[in-house]
Amino acid sequence: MPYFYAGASLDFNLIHIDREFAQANGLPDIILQGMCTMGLTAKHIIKNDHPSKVETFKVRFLNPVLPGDELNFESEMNNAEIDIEVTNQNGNRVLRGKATTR
Amino acid sequence: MSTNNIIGKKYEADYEISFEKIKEFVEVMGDKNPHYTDRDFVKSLDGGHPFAPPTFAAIYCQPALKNLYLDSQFSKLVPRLVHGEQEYNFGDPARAGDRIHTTAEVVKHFNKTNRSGKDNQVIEIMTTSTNQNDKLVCTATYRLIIRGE
Repeated sequence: MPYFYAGASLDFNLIHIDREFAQANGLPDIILQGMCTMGLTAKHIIKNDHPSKVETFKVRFLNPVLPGDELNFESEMNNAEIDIEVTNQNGNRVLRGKATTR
Repeated sequence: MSTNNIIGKKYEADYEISFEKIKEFVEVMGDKNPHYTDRDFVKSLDGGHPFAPPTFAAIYCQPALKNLYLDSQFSKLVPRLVHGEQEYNFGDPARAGDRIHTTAEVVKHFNKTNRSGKDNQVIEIMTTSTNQNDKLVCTATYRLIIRGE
């Protein structure tokens, strides 16, 4: 997925597409673009609704997402605010965020 | 490191949103929302062109950010750069056919010691994007971490 997202998003930082380069720079493997994880989280929030429903969207990237990881999205809605947490298959949090809707 | 004077550096660029790029983007994400891909459906809503998903902002901001990454003071940091936080505030929706003008400015740069005692650098970039009608489409804050050696 990092390869395809690089093409679609123009984010060609080598830490996302070149394993040797990523490891030489202290990472365990190539890592998924944070913006890709954020985009997948937005998809989870919006589903098939109008995209303008999202007014603000803020996230913190907590752990890198590696090839083969499976992500689990959990969100809780309080009035117009949505709290979101994304975890990987080991239960480690990779993203925590908040969105407001209109 | 000689990056102390990057605060205030400002970069601008235009990006024209194409329907094809939106389709490519949502296909990678496996996103089947018809607001992005179904011309007839969107036309039936308000007569306009398909919408871009919110995080498509990463794409129309990219040409302005690229100018920053190519800056000689910054380019050597890019291999050790990871994305720490990201914040968006959305105004008018971005749609296929829109011409988006983005300014990106470095607003913060400081050193921070992380949990394991490594000295990282934090760089904050703010972007402002407007469309061809001078309407605000998006403001964003990119918080980037430059991992210590």
